[in-house]
Order: sequence, then structure tokens, then C-alpha cells
Amino acid sequence: MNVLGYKRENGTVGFRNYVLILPSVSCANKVAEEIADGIEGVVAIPHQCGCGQLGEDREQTTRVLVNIAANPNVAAVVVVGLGCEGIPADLLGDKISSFKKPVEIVVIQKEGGSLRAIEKGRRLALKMVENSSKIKREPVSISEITLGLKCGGSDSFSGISANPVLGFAVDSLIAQGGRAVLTEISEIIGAEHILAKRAANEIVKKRILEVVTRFEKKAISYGVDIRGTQPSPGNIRGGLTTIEEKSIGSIIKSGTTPIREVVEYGEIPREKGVVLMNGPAYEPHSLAGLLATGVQIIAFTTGRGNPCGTAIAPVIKISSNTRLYERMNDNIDFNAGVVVSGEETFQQAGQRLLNLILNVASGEMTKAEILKDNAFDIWRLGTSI
Amino acid sequence: MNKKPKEAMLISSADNVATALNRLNVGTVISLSTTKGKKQILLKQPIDCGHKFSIKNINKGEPIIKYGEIIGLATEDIPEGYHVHIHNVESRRGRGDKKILD
Repeated sequence: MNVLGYKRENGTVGFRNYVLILPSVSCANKVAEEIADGIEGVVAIPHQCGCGQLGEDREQTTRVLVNIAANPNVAAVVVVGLGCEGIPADLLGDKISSFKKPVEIVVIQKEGGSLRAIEKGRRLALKMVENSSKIKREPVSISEITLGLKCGGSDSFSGISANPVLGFAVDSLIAQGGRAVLTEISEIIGAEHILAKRAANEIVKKRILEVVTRFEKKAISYGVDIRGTQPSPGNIRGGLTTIEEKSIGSIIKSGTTPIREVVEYGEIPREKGVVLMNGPAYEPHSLAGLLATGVQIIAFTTGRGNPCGTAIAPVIKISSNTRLYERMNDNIDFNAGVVVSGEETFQQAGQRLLNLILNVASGEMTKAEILKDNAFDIWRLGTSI
Repeated sequence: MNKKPKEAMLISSADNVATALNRLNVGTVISLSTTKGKKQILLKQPIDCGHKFSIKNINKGEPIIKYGEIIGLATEDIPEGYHVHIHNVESRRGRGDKKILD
């Protein structure tokens, strides 16, 4: 089966075709946003990192910024630096060009201030859009799809409707050679034994248990009950009682096939099939990490309602109940509540969701995409130094 | 999970709680299909949509089972037909307050 995508020079396939304005440091956010403002096909991703970071924290931010630029949905990149930041624009530019992607650098201190940097950046962006718009969508195999998996504002229906329906679509995508990235490690606490049984080998099994234990130990170090954060107050109102219950319902969205690999936050997977990414469940952190792994589309289930999208990959919102679908229709693309009411079977709804994923790959827009929602924040491992 | 449920859903035959699919009033009798045939549960408390109720008597300290898996422990005796939620169930995980790490 085919979908329509943009073939990149490095062999990857994008399903969107953006020019990305990437600030290397938060001090360059305003300039990056001004560069992107009002230019068709250009997106900026302001963030709060890029300086005052050490060790693994600095490495992680660098990896995420580079790998987001490497995301197949990105056609070309303008890196905007200040000039004195800890993660220099030049360093990012060099790493990004190793992905055979057009990259230009604008450094605010070098250009002589914000306005000159904005002007230069806008001219570069204009040229890049002119070039990237010449790339036409072509038929590609659905095995080119890497689907990010996310939930937010879960209720107790999430685990019995939206997540199983998404799991069915994921099994189908994997059977056809695709990849799905599961994350939200804090929402695997209490369900890791189920996921570990799906590990493709002993190394993956060990890594699954390791990343979950690391998260739980961190949570415990705060000396309080995890309940109230996991599950959240909204989850609890929706009927979820414990993190175990939430987690078991949550991992169902990854389907039933083997877990092939465990990657760090924002690391690009090598294996196809279901991959687990280390990282928290908090939406902007989770979405930023997923973008860096190279997901071109994200499927996001919700029971309470959630507007979060990303600047680079379309996010498909899947409601767990019909009431939410009707009440927050501005934000929801697909209703899985039909399997609870009995209007559709899991198979029917799962197939309908897969069809939507394929249509979105080929260019159909999602609500979060149309509304330009951009929930983006890089997960920090350390404090600012 | 293949049945077409109306008022409540029992996910696994091993479960001792079921999930309300609508808001259910006190006195409602819920019919559930279990491996041992049909079971009738008389609700002693109102159950909000999406919330859980006990389908058998659960003693203090016993596991709460949903999806055929343990999702927590009862903190008090929970008779059949009662609301099962944070007031009578505790988690065994992420308990920084108790320093429990399974």
C-alpha cells in the first residue's frame, strides 16, 4: 500500500515539507520567531535550552536539536544563534549537514543585532521555501511511516477504547513494515512486566526494566505519593485510580508486536517495528522527544480532551468517548468511543484509524495542525549552571 | 472486550471490578457475563461514568484486579456493588511517602 511523501536526499521520507528556523539557544527565540513570521511553509521552534548546560544535560539538548532538524518532515534549516551560547549554532549546523540537509547559519552578534539577523534569516528562508516547494509528493510505501504514540488527559475509557483501537492500527502498520515509537516511561510504571514480555531479546527486556526503574526511583526520591501527578487530578476524575491502572491501559496503544529497541530521549531508532523511547509523559517534553526520533506523524489518545500539536509533525487526536468527541470537536480528529457504544468493532475502528493515519501522511490536515498548536519543550536532565 | 456493552464493562474474567459506561444510580442491577455465566450486581452507591465498582466482596489488603492485572490494594473492606476508587484503593508503585519500590 502506498502513501504520498517527500523523498529526501538521505533516503528518508517526509510527509510534510517545512523549512525549520531553529534557535540554538533561548536568547535567539525572538529572532527565530520573527524570521518565520508570515512566511509560508516556515516554522520556528522556540525553546528554553542551549546554554548553561553541562554533561548529559547538554548532550541531550544537542541531540534533540540536531535530530529535530533531521526529522524527515523538515526540508531545510536555518539555525539562529546568539554567538556566545554553550551549544553554538555552528556546531548544530555541522551536525545537521551530515544528514545531507540544506543548512544556513545566522548569528545575531555577528550580524550586528536582531533586525539585521532577522532580515538575513528571512531572505534565506524565502530561498529555501522556493527550493523545497519544487519537491513533489511521490508514492512511497507505508513502511516509510514512523508513528509517534502519545496520550494526554486520559480517562478510564482510554484503556478500553482509544488505546486498543490505536493498538490495532499500530499492529497493522507494523505488519506492513512501519515503525511506531512508544514513550511516556512514567506511564509504564506498573505495566513494565507486560511490556517486558514483548521484548524482542534479552537486551531490550533489560533496557525496558531499567528505564522504568530509573523513572520510578526519581519519583520516589521526592518523598511523596506519585498519585496526584500519576494519575493526575483529571485522570482521577475520569475514573483512573492508580498509576498501575493508568499504565496498563496506556501501553495497549502500542499494539501486540515485539518491542524491537529502546532508544534514549530524542535518539533516532535503527530498528523497524515498535520502539520504546526513554522520556517523561508530560506533553511538550514527550512530543519534542518524539519529533527528534524522526516520527512524521503522531497519534494521540485522550479522554479528557487535549489541544497539543507540534510545528513539524501532524498530531491526530483520538477521543476515548463520544461525549468528548462532540464537546471538544475543535480539537478531536477521530472518535474511538464508538467501540464502547457498540457502533463499531475494534477491528472496524482500528482500520478506520489506520486509513486516517495514511490520509494524514498524504497531506490531509489534523485539527492541531490547522490550529498551529505547538507544544514544545526539551526535557532537561540537569539544572542550569 | 468483544461484547457490545451497555451499562458496564468487565474487561477480564479474572477482574473483581467492572467499569461503568454511563452514570449509574444506586439500586441499579447490572448484568455481567463472566466465565461462570451471568452475574447480577446490585449497586449500593452511585457510580460515575468511567468509574469502577466491586463485583464481589473484596477484603482489606486484597488486590484490586482489572485487565486481569493487579492495579492496587484495598485499604478497607469493599462489599459487592460499591464504588472502587482512591478512597479505598492504594497504589503499590511510586510511593515516595512509603519508600516502596517493587
